[in-house]
Amino acid sequence: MNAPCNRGVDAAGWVLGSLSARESEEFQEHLATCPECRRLVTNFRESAELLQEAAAEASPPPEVRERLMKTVRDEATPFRDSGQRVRSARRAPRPWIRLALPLAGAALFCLGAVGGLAVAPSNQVESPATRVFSGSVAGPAGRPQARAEVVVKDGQGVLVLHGMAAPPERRVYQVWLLGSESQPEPTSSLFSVPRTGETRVNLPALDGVKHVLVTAEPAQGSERPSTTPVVDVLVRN
Amino acid sequence: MSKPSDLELVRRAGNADAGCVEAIYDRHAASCFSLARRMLGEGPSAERVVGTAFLRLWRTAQSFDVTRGSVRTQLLESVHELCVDEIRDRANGGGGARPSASSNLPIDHGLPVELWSVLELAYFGGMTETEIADQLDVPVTVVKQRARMALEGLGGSDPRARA
Repeated sequence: MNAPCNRGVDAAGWVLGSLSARESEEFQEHLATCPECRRLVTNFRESAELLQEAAAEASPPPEVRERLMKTVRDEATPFRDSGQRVRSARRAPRPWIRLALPLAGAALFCLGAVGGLAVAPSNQVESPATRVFSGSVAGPAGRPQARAEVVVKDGQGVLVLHGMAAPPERRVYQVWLLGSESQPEPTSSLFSVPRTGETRVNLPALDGVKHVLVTAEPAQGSERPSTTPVVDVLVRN
Repeated sequence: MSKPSDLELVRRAGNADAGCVEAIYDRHAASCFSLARRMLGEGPSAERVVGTAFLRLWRTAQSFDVTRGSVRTQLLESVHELCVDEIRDRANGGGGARPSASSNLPIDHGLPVELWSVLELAYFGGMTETEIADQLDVPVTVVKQRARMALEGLGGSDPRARA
């Protein structure tokens, strides 16, 4: 008879969200390999559903719905009529690139040397007006299956992330656009990642943009990257 | 003609059908908002969390994982996760009082108060096990044990489970 898994003590805390960020990340990785803990989590999640329903019923004001649907419709536009929302693009091997990006304090770092990002020129055409570019996720943000894609239709782009780890504690991810200049332009696209690791981020206009980058930044975002990019997607306009 | 299921709506949302998000919102927004308001109190935070949770669902609809629970369950989990983040941000920024271990839930949970306190502080209060241990003045191992026993007991107190 097998001994019970000693990580099971964290199953309840994981379901309740009461583990620390580090414990939560470690337990999530453990779940992938431990059927016993997965069974525990399944049982506890059923119990937690009772808590979800335990608040007195109240309706949000109509503005919440209006704001949500405006964003959703805006994001749906690039995919309308394409027949496919997102498709994985074929990735081809390519030498690692090196990008020099100024850091606060004038320090420079190179993605190839520091982050080790391999970037594929995956500008496969999905339809006459839709293109999908694949990039890479590196560093602690990258689980083994992590992928990053930029889907562009009619000049509008969406960054699609799969298997992405959450940003470090007290940080958010920020999108940067790099053209022919040596310095990336900051965007107001700040985001976190749900436990599923899947998310989509609307991008500003990509005219003249060669790379879509993501770094972990303080909650309010930064004017210049303060950490090594964890995502780099080469975009060929 | 029968209404499409939540899962069917999510599948269609995964194909960029924005209208399906509206239908899902109309079904579950009140429950999501109720949970958010229970955790964050009155004010714009609860509204923001609800909007973000539905936006997450929209943005991840194509890869929606049915093995992780129903659409409703996953929406409420998303709301809970966002609320916990908000509570911890407030606490770290010095804003907002942390909850006390008292229950005002409209359910008959049937749990001993020492188990219920852990659930209340963890689930609705957004506190970590270490913080709960400090507040209750018990070791973290005891908090972990009580959390487990509470969820096991809560499952057993579910009328659906007894039926």
